[in-house]
Amino acid sequence: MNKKIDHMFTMSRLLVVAGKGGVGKTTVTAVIARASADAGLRVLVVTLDSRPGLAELLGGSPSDGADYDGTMIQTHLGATKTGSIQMRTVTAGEALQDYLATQGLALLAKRLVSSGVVGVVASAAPGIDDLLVLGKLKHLVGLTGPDGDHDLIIVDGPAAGHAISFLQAPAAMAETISGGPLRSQAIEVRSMLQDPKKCRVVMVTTPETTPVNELIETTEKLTQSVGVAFAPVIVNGVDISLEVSSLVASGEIPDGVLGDAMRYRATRSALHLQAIDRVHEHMLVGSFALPHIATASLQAHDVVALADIMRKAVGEPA
Amino acid sequence: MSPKKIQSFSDIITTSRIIICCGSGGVGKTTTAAALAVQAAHTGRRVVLITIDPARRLADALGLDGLSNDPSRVDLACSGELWAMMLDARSTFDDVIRRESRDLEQQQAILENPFYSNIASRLSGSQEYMAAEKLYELSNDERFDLVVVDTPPSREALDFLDAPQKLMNFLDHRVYRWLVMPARGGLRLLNFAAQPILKTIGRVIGADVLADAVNFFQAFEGIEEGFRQRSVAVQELLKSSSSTYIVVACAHNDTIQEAIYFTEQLAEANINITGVILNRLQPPFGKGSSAASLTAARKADKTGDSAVAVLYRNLAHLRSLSEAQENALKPLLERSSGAVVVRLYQRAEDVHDLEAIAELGRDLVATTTTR
Repeated sequence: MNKKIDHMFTMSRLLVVAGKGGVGKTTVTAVIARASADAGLRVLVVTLDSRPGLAELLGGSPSDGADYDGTMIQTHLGATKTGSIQMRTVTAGEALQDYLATQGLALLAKRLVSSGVVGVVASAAPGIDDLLVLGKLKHLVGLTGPDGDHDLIIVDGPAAGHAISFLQAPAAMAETISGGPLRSQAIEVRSMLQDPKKCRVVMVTTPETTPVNELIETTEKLTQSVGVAFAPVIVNGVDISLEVSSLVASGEIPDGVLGDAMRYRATRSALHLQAIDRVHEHMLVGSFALPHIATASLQAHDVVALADIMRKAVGEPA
Repeated sequence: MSPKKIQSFSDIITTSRIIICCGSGGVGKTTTAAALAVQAAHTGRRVVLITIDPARRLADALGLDGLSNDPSRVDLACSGELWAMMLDARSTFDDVIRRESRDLEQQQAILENPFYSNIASRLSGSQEYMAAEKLYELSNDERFDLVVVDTPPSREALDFLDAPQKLMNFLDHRVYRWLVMPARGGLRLLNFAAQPILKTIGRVIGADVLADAVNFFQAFEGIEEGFRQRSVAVQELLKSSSSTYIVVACAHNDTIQEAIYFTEQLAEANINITGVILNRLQPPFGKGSSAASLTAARKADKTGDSAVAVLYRNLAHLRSLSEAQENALKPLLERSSGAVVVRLYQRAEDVHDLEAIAELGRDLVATTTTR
């Protein structure tokens, strides 16, 4: 069922996790982070809107990683004890201040923020806020590697349809701005997004018809308009019971709730299998099925269990 | 307040004038809004459904394949009428500008400005405002007696409610007042370049982009009053007793937390939730507990009846998920006392055609429980 996900943690320096609302994007971000840290990597998890829950899924407290400077959540993970998870929140406003500071305009940056001019800047040019955030990510990617701060950066990407406009922003800005430092920034970020060694998108879907359709559409759009490469697709919440399916296939199903429950589970299983097959057909880069956990509130220990399954499929980094 | 107490979703769809569906992304808001609209049309009402971003097959089922910002009649055999439209925030905004402009010149200056284009299609809150604007427009349209609206996915319930005010604040922002100011006195370029902050912004984002922004606010001058009056009217409608609010949630901890947050935000704005739709719950398959099923499975294991053991273990698995979901839902149910609550169970097959939506609509009115 799970093909071609070798090297998922080391194929790229930056993984942007994307998917429509409700597919479990944040869960998947936590699972990849935990699995790669358990494989010995130093991982930086970045959120863009400090959504609650991610830090707790990683075993931290609710307020961890909510600020721009970040919080170390886990250390000494994995067989070699080198694995760690740090988390931080990157917002456009702070990325702008940061950017202006690197342009030698630190003092002005403060004034711009306090006077509300940042709002003007962010809305004056389409996608400038997204570009600033991606620019910060590019900067962080530059700090990865054996001598750097981290081995892998994982971004809990923007929700729903916003992922496309987020990743398109640099290309659009490179066209609309005629000159200046922001244009060079846009061009540099665009080339980072197009370099599969530096950046890949992890698409997340649930194993159902409509989310898989949207996954295929989004993937095509991102390939055409951004030229970004993909990591294996994560199919989240897969519940396939082979013993139930084969018993139903044998035809000896009783009446009443026992039979109803069997037929229900068998139909769901078939639907999930079908959805995974469709993902395989369309995504050459491979996919990975994360099993459904029968709970209404996923906890950090569930993330550890899921990460174990993923890490075994990916193998140890070279 | 409505004269008759609402006791079921059947009451909601037969007595409301406006139904606003709130909920976080991925909970099935668009589908449940469509199901309410279809069911209402079956009770003889003339319904218009405003959807935000339907999945393609739902759009096809509703006949919305050609992206249209005007309601079109859905081919549905019912005693009433069902109309549907997909919100196009940009063209709704264009219509507002056309309506409020004093002349063709002003209208063109705004519509052709690249900065306007950004505000109309991308500025956060624009989509919410335009959904509210359409809602206002259609609630005054004599062709319809019920408007059902699916709100844009958002963490903040009040984004929808506050959007008119927020956009007004944005357009009224003192920074913009100040951007427009240098234009007076005909020394625009000179003054413009002399502002150190503007100079810096221009250096960062490009002078032409900034010039577009300045031009936009100049062109926009004089329209604000019409905008303001309309936004007050829209806001009054949203907060009036004509508007019925429904929260849609799934039984996952995170969406439950968001639904609770929505409910609290609405309560702060003195708005009561009339209905709660708990969507895609695990069917419990009978009244028994997962523990009892598990005991039966173990017993079958001992007697060597493996097929029976599989049957009971499966039932135990599904019931334990259902029990976990009911537990997780308790805090939301406690906070929405007084609202009509309905449970919609996960179907074995996906819901994406009109027939399945109609079935969902029948379930909505058939299985209501009040708390």
